[in-house]
Amino acid sequence: MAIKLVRVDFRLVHGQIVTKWIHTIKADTILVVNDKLANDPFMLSVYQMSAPLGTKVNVVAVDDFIKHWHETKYDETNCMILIKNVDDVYRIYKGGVSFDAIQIGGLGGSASRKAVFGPITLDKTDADRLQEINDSGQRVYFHQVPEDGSAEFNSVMKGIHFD
Amino acid sequence: MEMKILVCTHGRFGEELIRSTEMIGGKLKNITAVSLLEDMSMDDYYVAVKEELDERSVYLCLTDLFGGTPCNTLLNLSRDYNIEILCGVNLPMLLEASSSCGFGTVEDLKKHLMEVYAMNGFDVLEKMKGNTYGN
Repeated sequence: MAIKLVRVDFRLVHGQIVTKWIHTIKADTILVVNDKLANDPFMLSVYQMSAPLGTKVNVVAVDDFIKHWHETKYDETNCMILIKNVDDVYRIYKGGVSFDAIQIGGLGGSASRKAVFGPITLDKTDADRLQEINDSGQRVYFHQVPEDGSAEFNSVMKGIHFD
Repeated sequence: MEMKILVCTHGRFGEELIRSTEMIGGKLKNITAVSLLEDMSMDDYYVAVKEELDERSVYLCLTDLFGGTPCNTLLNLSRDYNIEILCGVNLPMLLEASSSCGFGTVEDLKKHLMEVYAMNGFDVLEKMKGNTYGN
């Protein structure tokens, strides 16, 4: 029992994609680490109601996540962690949390962002921060859905430049 | 209170469903689709749906999939707007909604559309033979 997967996905609990990953990794809980959702019990209940059968959905604020990670490493759970963006990933990293691996699943799109692997985009700040985390020894990789291939951070970033 | 219909779907399914309905039943009024596109975040979609809403109207929202982002976004907005939500939107429902909108209350229409939903999925050849599978 422990954290089975750490995924960064801008849509958080997004029906099919989360269902696929939950089945792939055989976790029984989705733990959303997000300040906004931690203060919105109504939307949490929406996610809980629409979760795949047998899957629990819990939410924790970023600072509380860091605190509890230092206490137990979440060993008491069998969960998939969902984080919304690289800003929060970086806060968690700076809080001293160390994951084995961080899966980048989707970060949305906007004019300042560049597609680096399939539809997954980064901007310069995201790229720099993920580089720092990857260099620290936590494996950062891109993987959208289980059926498609994944790619390591360094091999994807080769040949990608931000102005 | 004016009743409006909002079709909220993954991709352009809702926009095309409106076009398909108009192909059969003619031009529709008081109906809008808001499509969740590939690169939109939940926040982007929330803003897009909110732009279609005002406090003076009542909305019957037809969405594709329970638990999907369009449905969740509508649930979120149901706290601030006068919204009813049905999932499983299809062509028979939209055809019926377009001809019934403006008659009766949103409650009546909602109930009626759920009946339409239940009545319109069946095995066609079996029905022709007189068997009533699922209907």
